[in-house]
Amino acid sequence: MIGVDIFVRTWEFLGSLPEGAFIAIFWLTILAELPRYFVGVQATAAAALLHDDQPRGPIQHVPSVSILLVGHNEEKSLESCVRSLHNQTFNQFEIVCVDDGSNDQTFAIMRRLQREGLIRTAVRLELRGSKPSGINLAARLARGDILVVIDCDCSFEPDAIQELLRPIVERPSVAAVSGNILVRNWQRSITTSLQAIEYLLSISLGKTYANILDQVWCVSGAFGAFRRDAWERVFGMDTGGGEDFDFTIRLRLAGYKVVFTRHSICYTDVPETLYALLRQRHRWERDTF
Amino acid sequence: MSRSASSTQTVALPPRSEAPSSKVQHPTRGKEFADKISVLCIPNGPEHGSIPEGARKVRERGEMPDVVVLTEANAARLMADYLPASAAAIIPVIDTSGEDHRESAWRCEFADLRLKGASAFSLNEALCILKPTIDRVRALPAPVLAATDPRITLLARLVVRGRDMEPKRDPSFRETVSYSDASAVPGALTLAEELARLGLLERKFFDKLITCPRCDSARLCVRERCGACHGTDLVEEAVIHHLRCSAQAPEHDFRQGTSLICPKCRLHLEHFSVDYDRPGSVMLCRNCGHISTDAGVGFTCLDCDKEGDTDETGARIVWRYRITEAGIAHVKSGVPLLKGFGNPALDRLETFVSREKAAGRPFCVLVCRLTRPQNVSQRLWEQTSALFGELFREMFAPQTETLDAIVGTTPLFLALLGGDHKNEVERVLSNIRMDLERHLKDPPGADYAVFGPDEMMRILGGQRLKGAT
Repeated sequence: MIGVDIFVRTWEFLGSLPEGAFIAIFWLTILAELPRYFVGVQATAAAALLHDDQPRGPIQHVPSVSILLVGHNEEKSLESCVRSLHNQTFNQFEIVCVDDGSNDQTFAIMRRLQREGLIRTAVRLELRGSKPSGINLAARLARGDILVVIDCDCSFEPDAIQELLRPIVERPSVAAVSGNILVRNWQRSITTSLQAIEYLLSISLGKTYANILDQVWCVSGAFGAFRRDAWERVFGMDTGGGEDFDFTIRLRLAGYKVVFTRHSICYTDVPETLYALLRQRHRWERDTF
Repeated sequence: MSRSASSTQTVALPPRSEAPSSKVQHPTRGKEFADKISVLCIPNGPEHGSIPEGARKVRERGEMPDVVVLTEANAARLMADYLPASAAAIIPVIDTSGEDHRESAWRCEFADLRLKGASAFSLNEALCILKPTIDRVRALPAPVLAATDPRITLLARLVVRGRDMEPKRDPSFRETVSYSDASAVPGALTLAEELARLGLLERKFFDKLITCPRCDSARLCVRERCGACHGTDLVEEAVIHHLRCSAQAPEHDFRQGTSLICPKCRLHLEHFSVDYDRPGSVMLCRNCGHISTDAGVGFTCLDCDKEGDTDETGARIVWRYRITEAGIAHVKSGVPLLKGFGNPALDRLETFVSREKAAGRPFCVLVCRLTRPQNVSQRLWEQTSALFGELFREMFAPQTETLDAIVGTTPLFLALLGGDHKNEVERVLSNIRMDLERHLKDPPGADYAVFGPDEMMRILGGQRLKGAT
């Protein structure tokens, strides 16, 4: 009853406020959150329905492509990731792998895949550096004009790479493309189900909306493509966490266009427990700021 | 039939006795000089060779020497003019020509001893060294020295020298190994394989060679090569990680003279593990610039020029061949080897029977035939048969020669027992059976039988008849 009482009193208080005061209190919600969760939904739906102008089908005149895989203790996921890549509709690419100081069988798997011809280059680092430095090394060893950065624990829709490359190939002004990341293990627990909804809202929907407004500010390090010349102009990734956010900002500051493509779908696993989720989010927030 | 290496050096053979069936006129030794070592000098001129006291030159043509002394370079080629091929391969040879033919030494190890000079003193020393060999030559049955079967010649050669037929590294051959005995007995390797099938020689592992998939040559040049362009100009280079800006690349990207300068932020890297780290190394191909942690391993065949990855190569096992007790006994008996059935087990059985029969020795053969019980899976049946074979061999080897054979789908195990033990074996058959079967959880049905000489001859005769028809 106390809760109901508080709710009634709050409602009466809000109702008694003049209009200006109401706006003064909730200006942030009105300006930031409503567009995101209401106008954004409407705008995105309208944009998707009215001018989904992205042509589907094979892409022509693709420059050389290198896929960069950097992993630490990825023995469980590396092989399926590489094989999934080779089952893509577009598979004219080289794969460059860097084992960032693993102490499991990651490098042995890389070597086996290299012998099978599925990987062009496999490099082992005895000491663990960091993901940015590993990606920088992989980019140095790669020969492609387009660099695709992928997390080892990802799997893909069959046309994911093709759709990821399409904006770069067809629009010379685009220097970076962010792919659409969905949750693979959404049925594992209520935590993963909620994260799946969150990914849909924040990445699929949120970035589609941001893309319409030309406001894509982060190409995820889990799934993104970059033009090599732009990569080299901003000198690759920098040290520390949140490197993907930082790198995208630097690209935009350098005048490059960054886009999101919702048709390029990659799946990843998310934390299954609340504790693991809290740790992950703490790390993300710390890295961003 | 295990034998220690040392026992091969002192094979004691009984005094030579003529085989009962031998009708051939064999070369003889000079009776009046039986105690002196007879030496055949090749070429046999009066000016050649200083013969020490206690030895004498072979006087008559056709007389069998104890030792051959080669007094000139390439005199080995003349041996065929003086001796039958078998005797030339069996009798020990001393090379006193003083020629050190390194080129030919790779190919021909005809001589058992090489002397730098042909003085009486050095020759006397050589004869002392070869005395045990000479004794073994003298103990050979006469038909062996005149044998036309190269298998017997090879066996006798090994018995006389008391050693294995040993392969030797030899880059002048495509196989990269050669057998010195092949210079005395042509086709020695093929003969040794046949003798191994007969149980007279035993194969021992020597080495495994990788071979060219196209021409089977083992003369391969194997080295690391670039995985991209297959070039061999590779260099190992450290990876440098600039800790401050996360730049990570091969060292030459950072190297400017004696300094390390980050290609990304242009800072000088001065202090290891403070400014920068070396987390690993890569192989850089100077031909195409490809970089990888591991270079591939490729080969080039020196004979046919084929290039490829080592995954494509074949493999061949090289064996050394050790004479078995059965082989020694066969040489001692002087009995010729029969033409085989084509079945290794039957060939070995017949070799044993003919040898014992020719020597007039009694023998018997214990045969055990397994029968597959009903409701036993194929896998369990194979395991049981294999275990039974192990137990059978453990029970009889090394004193007794054992054989495994498969007739149809029925496994047979044979113990070849020298001596007149048929009644004795029959008496203890129940004990043998119990010892063999008590270790098996599900003993198979097993029939045991002991055959004497006449029964075995009839059985083998029947087999030959079956083979002929």
